[in-house]
Amino acid sequence: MSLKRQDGRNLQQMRNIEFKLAIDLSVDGSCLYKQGLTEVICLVQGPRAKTQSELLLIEYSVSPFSNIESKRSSKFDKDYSMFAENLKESFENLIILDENGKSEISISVCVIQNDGSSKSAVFNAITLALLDAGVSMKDFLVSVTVGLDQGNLIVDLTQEESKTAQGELTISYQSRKQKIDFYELKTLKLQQQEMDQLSKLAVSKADEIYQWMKEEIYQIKQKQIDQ
Amino acid sequence: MKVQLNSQPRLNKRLQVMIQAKEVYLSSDIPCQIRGCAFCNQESDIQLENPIFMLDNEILEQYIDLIEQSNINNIVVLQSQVAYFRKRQQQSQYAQQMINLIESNFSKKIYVYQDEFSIHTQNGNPLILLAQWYNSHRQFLKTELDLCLLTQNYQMHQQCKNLNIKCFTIQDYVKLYENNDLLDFLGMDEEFEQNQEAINNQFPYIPVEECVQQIKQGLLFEGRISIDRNNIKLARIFVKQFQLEIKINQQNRVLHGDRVAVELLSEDQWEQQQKQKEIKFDEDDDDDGNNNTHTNDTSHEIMSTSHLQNLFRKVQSQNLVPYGKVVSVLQRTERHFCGHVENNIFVPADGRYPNFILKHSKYDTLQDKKIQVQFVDWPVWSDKPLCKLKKVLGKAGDMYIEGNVILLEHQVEIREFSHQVLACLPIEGDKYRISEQEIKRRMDLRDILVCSIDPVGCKDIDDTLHCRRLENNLYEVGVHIADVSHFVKPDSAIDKEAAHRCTTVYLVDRRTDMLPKLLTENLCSLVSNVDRLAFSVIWIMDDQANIKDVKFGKSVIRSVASLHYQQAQEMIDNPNDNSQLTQGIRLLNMLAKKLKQLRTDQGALSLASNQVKFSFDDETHNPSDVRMYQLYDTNSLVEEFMLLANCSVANQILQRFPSISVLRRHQEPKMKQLKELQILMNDLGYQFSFDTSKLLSESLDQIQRPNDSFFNKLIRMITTRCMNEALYVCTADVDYPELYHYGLAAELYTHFTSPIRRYADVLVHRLLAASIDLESLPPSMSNKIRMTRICDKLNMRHRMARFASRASSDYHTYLFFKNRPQQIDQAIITGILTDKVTVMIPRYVLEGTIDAQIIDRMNIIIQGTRYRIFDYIQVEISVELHSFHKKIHMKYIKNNN
Repeated sequence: MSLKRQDGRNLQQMRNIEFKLAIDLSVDGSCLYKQGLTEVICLVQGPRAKTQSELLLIEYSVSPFSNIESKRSSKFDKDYSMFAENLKESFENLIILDENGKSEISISVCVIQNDGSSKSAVFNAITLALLDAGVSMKDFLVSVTVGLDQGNLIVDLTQEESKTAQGELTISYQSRKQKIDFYELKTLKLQQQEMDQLSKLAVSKADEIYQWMKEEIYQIKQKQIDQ
Repeated sequence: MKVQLNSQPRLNKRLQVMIQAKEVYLSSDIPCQIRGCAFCNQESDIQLENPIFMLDNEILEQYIDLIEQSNINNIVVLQSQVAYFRKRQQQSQYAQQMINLIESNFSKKIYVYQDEFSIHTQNGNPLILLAQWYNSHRQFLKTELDLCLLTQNYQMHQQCKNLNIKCFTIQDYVKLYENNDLLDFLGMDEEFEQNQEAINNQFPYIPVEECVQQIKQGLLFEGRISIDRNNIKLARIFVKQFQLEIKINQQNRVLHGDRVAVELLSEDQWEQQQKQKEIKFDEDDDDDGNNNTHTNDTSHEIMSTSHLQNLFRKVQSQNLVPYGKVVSVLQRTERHFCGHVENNIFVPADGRYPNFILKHSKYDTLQDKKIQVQFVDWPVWSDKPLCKLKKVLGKAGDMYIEGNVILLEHQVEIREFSHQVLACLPIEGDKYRISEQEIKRRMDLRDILVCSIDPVGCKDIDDTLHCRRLENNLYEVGVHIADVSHFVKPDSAIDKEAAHRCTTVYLVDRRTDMLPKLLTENLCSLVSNVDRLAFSVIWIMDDQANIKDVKFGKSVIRSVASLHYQQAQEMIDNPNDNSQLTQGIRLLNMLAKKLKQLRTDQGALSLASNQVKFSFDDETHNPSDVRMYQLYDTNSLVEEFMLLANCSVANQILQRFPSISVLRRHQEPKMKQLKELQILMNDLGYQFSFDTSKLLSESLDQIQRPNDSFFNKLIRMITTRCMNEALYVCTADVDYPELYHYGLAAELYTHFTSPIRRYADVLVHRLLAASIDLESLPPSMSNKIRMTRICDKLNMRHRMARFASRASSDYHTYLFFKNRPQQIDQAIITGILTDKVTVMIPRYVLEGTIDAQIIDRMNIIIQGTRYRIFDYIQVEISVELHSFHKKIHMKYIKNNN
C-alpha cells in the first residue's frame, strides 16, 4: 500500500502549480503564482531611470490575512527582514544590472495566502515576474521546500505538515550553473545522513521544476508570438 | 490528479471564526486488493478473497465479537471508519476493540481502503460508492466476485437494491449463512420489546438536542455519573464547569460513567449536609481519572445569570448539597461488563452496575461461567437494563479466569503483542549481541563490579548499582538502569503499544507486561555475567553523602551478581566476607543511611502500606499463607539510590526542557482528614501536627505504645489514607513550586529507574538522552499538548493497575480464608463510624467492621463491654467476595484482657 500524506498526495509529489503572467499591465512585469493554496503576487518595475541610490530594490511583505492566526508583519521582525536581505542578495547576483548605475529595478512581492512553503513560492514568483518583464538574467532561479516527517522524505510541505515536520529545508537553485543559492534549514535536530538525503532530494526536485517552468514559459511566449 | 477543496470554519486563538481551506488530492490508483484483479494488478501482502464484506459503523461497533467469531474473513474497511474509531479509542472500549482487530490482523484479512483520497468515493455514501466500484471490477477478475454489504440502515438497503449490490442486516446474514451458535450473540429479538407502562421513578428522556440547549441556558447540568461502590442507590455528578457536586435523587436508568443531564430539584427537597465524623477508609471513590478540572471559558457567560449566582452562593455558604434528577443520558458509558449469570439475570462483577437481563437460548451452558456482556438498552418499562452476550470467558472460580476478569474490568490490555510490535524487536532474538559500533559509542563499564539487588524471583531486573572508593575520601556511586529506549524507538509500533499499555500490571499470581517478553526478561533485564546496555547515573560523593558531581551517560555493563534482598543483607552482616563486591555493598549501605538521614531531615515521610505477600501451596496453587511484606536494610539501600537517581535526572531534564519534561509530583495531603486524625490523636495524648511534612514525620515517629510495634504502623497507614495520590505531570501545565513532591520532600522528582515496567520512565530516558546531546528528541515529544495528554493517560493506567493488583490481592485473601473457616484472631479497633467500628487484624492486615454502640469519639460498647479506640479484641473471621472487594465479616468473640 502506497503511503499517502495528510492531503492525499504521494510522498514526493508537488502540489499543483499554476501561474499567470502579465496580470497587471501598468507595470513591466507581473506574476500571480499559486502552489496549492499558497499564493504569491509579484510586480516588477524596470529597468527604468534611477530614482534612488540602489540599483535593485526588493520589497517583501506578507499580508496579515495570509495565515489562520493573523499576525502582522513588521519591518522589524527578524524573520522578515532577514529573508528580504536574502532575497536581495540572491537576485543581485542573478540579474545583470546596469554597469553604469543609471537605471534601477524594483521588485515588490507579497504573500497573499500562506499554506506552507511560502518562501520557495516567493523565489519562483520573482523569477517568473522578472522573465515577464524581460530583465536580463544570468540564470533561472527555482526554489523548493522539502522536509522530513516521521522518517519520510516529503516535498512541498503544507502549513499543517510543517508544524509536525522534524526538519524543513528550503533551497533556491540555479539550474544551469548547478549551484545552490539560498539554503534555509528549520529543525530541532537532524542527523547528517538525513540532511544529505534532504539536500539531494531538494536539488533533484528543483531541477524538475526548472524543466517544467521552462517549457511552460516557452509555450506561453510562443502563443504570444503566434498572436 | 484531481484536487478537491474543502473548507471548514474554525476558531483562532482570539476566538474569531476563520475559514480554513484544505486541499485534498484525489487519486484513482488506489488498488482494490482483490486476488487476481487485472485492473489494479498490485503486489501486496493483503489479497482479498471471496466472499468480501463491507460493514457499516454500527455493526463494527456493536457486533464486533460476532464478526471475530464468524466466517467473515475478508473485510474492506474505510479509512474514514478507522479514523472515526481511532478518535474515540480512549473513551470507548467498543472503538478500542475495533482498532485492536484492525491492528492485529492475524486471523482476518482486513484492507483499509483510503476512501478519503480516492476519486471513486466522493459525493455520496462512501460504502455504497466503493461497493459499486468493486462491482465494476468484475470484468477484470477470472472468478466471480462475491461482495456483500452488511448494514443496519434501512435507506442503505433501498439504495443497494436499486444498484444491485448484495446487502443484508447482520441478523439476516447470521440466520442465513452462519452457525446457529452465533445467534446468541445477536442479543434481543423484537418479541421482547413490548410497550409496557413505565415503572415508578422512571420517565422517558428528553431529546439530546433539547438538553444541549437547556444546558447552555443553565437550566440543566451536565456531568459524568459516579455511583457508590457499596451502595448502588447513591449517585452523584460533578459539574466541572461550576465545581459543583450534585447528588442524584432519581437515577432514572443511568449506569456508572454515563454522561447525563441533570435537573435540580427545588431547594426544600435538599438535605442538610451531614458532617461525617469518621475517618474515611474508602479512598478509591473516584476512579474516572478525569478529575483534572479544566474550567471552560464559556462558563463565565452562564455564571453571570443572577439566578445561578445566587444559587451557588447559597450552596457554598450554607454547606448545602444540591439534589437533582436525571432527565436524559447524553452518552452511555461504552464499556463491557464481566460477571456471571444467575437464572436469566446477569450479575456484573463491578458493584457499581445494576443487574442486567440477558437473553440467551441456553442458560444451562452459562451457569457457573464467567461471561462478558455488552449493554443494549434500558427501556422505560424495565427495572433492569438489557444486555447481550459478548464472550464466554471461562469457568467461574478458576484462578486464571478470575485473574482475567480482574484485568478486563480494570481495562488492562491482555491480548498478545501483534506481529507489528514483535517485528520491532531485534531480528536475532535472544542471540542478540551488542555490536562493536554500539559499544564504542558508550561508556565501557564492564570492568566495574556492578550488582543488582531485587526481590526473590524477579525476572525483569532494571536497576544495578556499584560503588568504589576514590582518593581524598570520595566515593564513586553508580546507578545503571536498563536502556529500554535503545530497543523502543520513538513512534515505532512497539512504542505505540507501550504508550497504550503504560505500565506492567502485577497480579498476585502473574504479571501482564508492557513490553514483549524478549525485552523484559532477556535483552533489557540486567542479569549477571552478560553484557547489557544501560543508562548510567554516576555521582561523586563524599563520606557524608554530599554530591560533588553527577554525570549521565549511556553505557555497557556486565553485572557480577544478581542478588536478592536477603542475600545481600547476609553478605553485609557476615564479618568473614571481605570480597570486593561485599565491600562495595557495605559502602552503599553506609551512604544510603546517610542519604536517608538527609532526606528525613528535610521532612520526608515514611509511610506504611497494607501490602501483603502470599505464599502458595505448590500443588493446589491456593494461597497457603498471608503475611505483611518483610523489609530488610537492603530494601532501603536500593530505594535510597533510586530516589537519588530520580531526583538528579529530574533536575537535569527540567533544566534543559523546562516546558516538556515529565515529572512526578505529590500534592499536599487532604487537610480535612488530617485534622480529624489530629483531634483523635490529641485526645489520646499524642502530639500531632502536620503543618509541614517534617513536623508530620516527627509526630509520626513519637506515636508509640509500649509492647506494640504495630500501633505505629497502623497510624502510618491511616496517615497514608489522608495523602493525595502522586501524579505524573507535564511541566507545561504546572508552575515550579507546585512540582514539589510532598511525601519525599523533594523539590523535583521523576521516574527514571524502571523503564521495563513503566512508560513514563521510557519518556524520561529519551528526555535525558536528548538533554545530554546523545540523541535527538523525537518531534512528537516536543508537543506540550500531547505530552499533557500522555501524562493524564499514564495516571489513569497507573491507578487502574493499582486497583487491579489490590483486587487480585483481595481475591487471594478471600481464597485463603475460604479454605480456613472460623479463624479466630486478634484485631485492633481502628475507627468509629455511625453505628459500627472498623477493626484491623494485624497479622493479615485485614480490615472489617463490627456492630457497636457508639458513646463518643473515643468510647464504644460492643456487646456490653466497653472499649476505647485502638483497643485489641478477639474476632472470628469469614470472608466473602463482593465486586472484587473482599467483604470481611467479623464476629466479636470476647475480650482478651
